[in-house]
Amino acid sequence: MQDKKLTKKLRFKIFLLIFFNSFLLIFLSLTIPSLKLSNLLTSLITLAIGNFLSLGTGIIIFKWLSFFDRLHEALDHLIHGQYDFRLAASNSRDEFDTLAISLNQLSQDVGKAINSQKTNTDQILSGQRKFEAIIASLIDGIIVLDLHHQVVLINPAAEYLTGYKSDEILGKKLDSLIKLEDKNQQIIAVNDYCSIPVQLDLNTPSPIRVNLTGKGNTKNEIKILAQPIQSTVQTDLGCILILRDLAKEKIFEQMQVDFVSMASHELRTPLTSIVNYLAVVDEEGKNQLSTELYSYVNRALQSAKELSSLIQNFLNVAKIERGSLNINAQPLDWVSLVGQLVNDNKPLAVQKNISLELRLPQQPINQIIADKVHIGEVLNNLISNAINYTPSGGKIEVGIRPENLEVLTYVSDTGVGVPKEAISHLFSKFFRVPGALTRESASKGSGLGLYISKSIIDLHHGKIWVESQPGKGSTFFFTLPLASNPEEPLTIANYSAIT
Amino acid sequence: MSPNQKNILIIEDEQFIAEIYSRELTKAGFLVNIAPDGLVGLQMLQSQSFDLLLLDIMLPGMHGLELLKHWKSKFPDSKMPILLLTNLGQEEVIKEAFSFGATGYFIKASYTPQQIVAEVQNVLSGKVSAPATAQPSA
Repeated sequence: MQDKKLTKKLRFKIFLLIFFNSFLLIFLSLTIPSLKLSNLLTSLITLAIGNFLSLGTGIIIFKWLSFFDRLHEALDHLIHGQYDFRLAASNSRDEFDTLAISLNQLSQDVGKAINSQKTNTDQILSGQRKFEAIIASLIDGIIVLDLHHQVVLINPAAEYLTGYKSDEILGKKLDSLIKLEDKNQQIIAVNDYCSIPVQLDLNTPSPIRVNLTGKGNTKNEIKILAQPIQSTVQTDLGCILILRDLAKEKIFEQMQVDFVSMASHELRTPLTSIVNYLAVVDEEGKNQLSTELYSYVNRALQSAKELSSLIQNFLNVAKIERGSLNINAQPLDWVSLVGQLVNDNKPLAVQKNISLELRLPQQPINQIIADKVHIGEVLNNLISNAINYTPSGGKIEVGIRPENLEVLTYVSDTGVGVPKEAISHLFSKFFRVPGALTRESASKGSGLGLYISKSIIDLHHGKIWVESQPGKGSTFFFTLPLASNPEEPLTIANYSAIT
Repeated sequence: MSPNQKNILIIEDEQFIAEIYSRELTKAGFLVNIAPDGLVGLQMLQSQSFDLLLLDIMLPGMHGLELLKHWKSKFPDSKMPILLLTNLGQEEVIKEAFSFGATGYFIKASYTPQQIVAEVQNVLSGKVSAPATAQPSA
């Protein structure tokens, strides 16, 4: 379409030119006397020459104009971003071809430049998208600060932990929006943000636990670590803060089951069936089984219970070693618990013809602060040790006595006693008094009981010790904290502060 | 089902254990339903009302604590006591269970079924309130 238009324009221009030239010649012939055109032939010749001249001019001008047209076309292509168009040019080295060649070169160079810029932009965008996707997928929060402690970047995890969306926090000074407190409730100053933690070991900084107070006073317990950015001069970036949500970590830790816990769990699964089914036969089978068979069931059940207790011991030791035996201390009616445990052990004592008595003080005793499950394990352990190491016909006494802010509990027996040399090792792992075991007691116990008991008492901030006379008997003592005020029980933490 | 008969749901994947508990509880006069996993258990909880739930922690698919959390978030006003059954010895898990509203827990391997029945009866008659023990009391 455009070409036709151009061609029309040209034709018109040529026509005008010829017309004009013709008139020029006629005018000249009329005005210049020497060129007096008296006869028609002369006029025609003059006209012919005139036309020839104007046609020639027209052709030359046409060539110029068509070149401009092509130039226009080429530039048009360039304008519309089509850098592949090339003008036809020969190597005649005339002005037109030179210009065409230069224009072609321009198209080529511009084309290249723009394409490479496009590729660069694409790469940058794709790289940026990848980066954003990576940062957004991180479970840990990332906050990047510049040298003025203003937030330059924040990822979704950090948005969650601070409570602020990126558009609310970008460009602002971080400490104007959040507060970091260490475990002693000291506020961490913003100037220290990029040096969290104080690096004792330059090679491996480790994160510290802080409480982060964010938007709307929401609090999150996190582990935080600052990483300086390498090229601060070029980027004006200060450091990267890495935030780990401890709430999530805690849940993850709980879901993680370590080997010993898993092993205990696996061992207990079939054991549960053994204990349960034997218990049912034990209860219902008395009349259906012969006395002998019934007694076998009873023995199997007893062994299963011992196995269960053994697994519990191993689990406890593993926890103690890891430092993860947790004491859930609550106010406890100690007198009633002791009474209960003594009753539980009475059948075993009766079997061995040992008397097991409970001695309570005259005045009532307040509640104590203890973990019911674990402290029960301690008392059970001491009583069953007493039963094992006391010969038939002997006596065991369990007593309670209040002493200041504590309750003293003792288990006293008329058993074989503990030799002096053994006393210092008594509460260590796998220790059993050599030669103290008689045929009656066989090889009861795994040597773990006192070790576990001591660990539990220690965690209650109590004391455990023994007084013994070989051949006469032993008394094991342990203390537990009293709740000072029944309405306001001491927690284990408070108790350690005042003792 | 008589009007006073209490309805108990056991969510436990170990068939042997579920059956023996069911047998003993039925003998003691309870109506017992068993669900072998968390999803079925949740469905049953949502379609019927129960007077007590015995919930195993290590369940295939949905973890017992997840179920507990899910249940409590959907029915926060439910007063149905929830006793956890576990052979795990991890206090952290147990503590978390209590924070989600569990009523008590047993270590399965340490309890005879008669003792479990006794504890269930205690809880339902309102005798035991705070955390149950891992070691049986009788």
